[in-house]
Amino acid sequence: MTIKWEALLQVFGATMLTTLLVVTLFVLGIRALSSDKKVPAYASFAGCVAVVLYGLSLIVF
Amino acid sequence: MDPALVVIIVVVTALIFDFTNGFHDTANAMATSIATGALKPRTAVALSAVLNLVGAFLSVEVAKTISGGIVDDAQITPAVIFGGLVGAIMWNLVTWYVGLPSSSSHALFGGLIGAAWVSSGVDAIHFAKVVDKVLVPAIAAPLIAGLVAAMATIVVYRLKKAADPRVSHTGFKVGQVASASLVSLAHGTNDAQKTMGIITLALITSGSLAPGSAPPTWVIVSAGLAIALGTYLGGWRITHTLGRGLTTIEPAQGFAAQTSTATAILASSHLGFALSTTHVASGGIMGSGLGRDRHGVRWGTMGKMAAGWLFTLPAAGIVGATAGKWASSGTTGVIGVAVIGAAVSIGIWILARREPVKPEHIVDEVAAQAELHKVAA
Repeated sequence: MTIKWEALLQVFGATMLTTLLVVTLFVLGIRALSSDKKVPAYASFAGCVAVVLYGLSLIVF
Repeated sequence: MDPALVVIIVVVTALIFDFTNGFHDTANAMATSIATGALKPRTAVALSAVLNLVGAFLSVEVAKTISGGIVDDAQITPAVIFGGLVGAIMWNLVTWYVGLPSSSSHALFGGLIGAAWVSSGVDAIHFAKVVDKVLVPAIAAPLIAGLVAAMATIVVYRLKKAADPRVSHTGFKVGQVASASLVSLAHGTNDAQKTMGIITLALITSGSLAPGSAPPTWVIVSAGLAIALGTYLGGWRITHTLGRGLTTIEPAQGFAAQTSTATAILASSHLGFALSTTHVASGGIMGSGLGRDRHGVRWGTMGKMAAGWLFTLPAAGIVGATAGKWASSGTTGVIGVAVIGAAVSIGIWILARREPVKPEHIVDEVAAQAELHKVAA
């Protein structure tokens, strides 16, 4: 009976990296928005969307 | 009994299970968004239903785990699967009625494993696969979601200090809707596929499909529709939970918790890990509570809940074993199991209608986790 530690590590690593990336971008977007910097704000939110879409594309294809 | 008829009965029963799964789990993804006023109940429920349907089409890895891994398809019959399914449904309904938090996914695995074990012997179970794809992820995925949610919450709360509170309040409400949507999507990729896997397994054991086949399109479509319909109809009960102080979860915390939950489920689905989405979501909420306040978790309560989780698999296994043994004995067995299953279901439905909105009946296990934390507002 073998436990595939590698697969578990993959899930852990992917979850940690993706989540931290998305939440950091999102909070930075909110910070930019509250100091009225529209362009960096929307760039951050667009970054979040891009990460999510990239992740989903990895699953589908 | 005609094997084709048994397969049809299994398909219908599996879709009913799928429907109850959607019915049961809507609140998990959407309750906090409704509670914070970010979404109207009608919109939230419809959104969640559509995303569950979409999620069902994204991947078939979990379905393959169930149809091609945990039990030996050469040694069991559709009648055994039927017994396991009825066992899972009955266990689900009874625990729902008495208010015991229980995972529909583990009930399904328990029922299937128990039924296969008793009617076809211990060789019919691939224990290595069960450990690798079900048991280990069952423990690991909530821990991963929790740990990541704790980190994400720390990051969010540190960084949002510099933001205008009004902007960040509205902003995180939007973020919460987005992350709740991802949880619904992830739910479709893992939970809808359990039903696809069961139907595919029944088709393989009856000889309609070759061993190792992926689910046919009509199976994917019907399983996706069943879970979406259950999600849509089940969601109406959420409105009743709103008086229960779910708002202990702030939008920013909910956002961090749900993002890590969705990511953990999606990553697991991709690798074919069949896990309980409820457990992962609970792990996420607990982790984010820990991230906000290190001393805020009641470990004793958490331990009791974890013990309850571990209990589901063997308990549903025993119910599934009894039903599977009887169903595989012939036509009378299948009819007997069906009649008792229907009688128990109708009985519980009548009992539940007599006292419609007992708090225990509102199955929002995830939001309930928030109450484990003494969150300093």
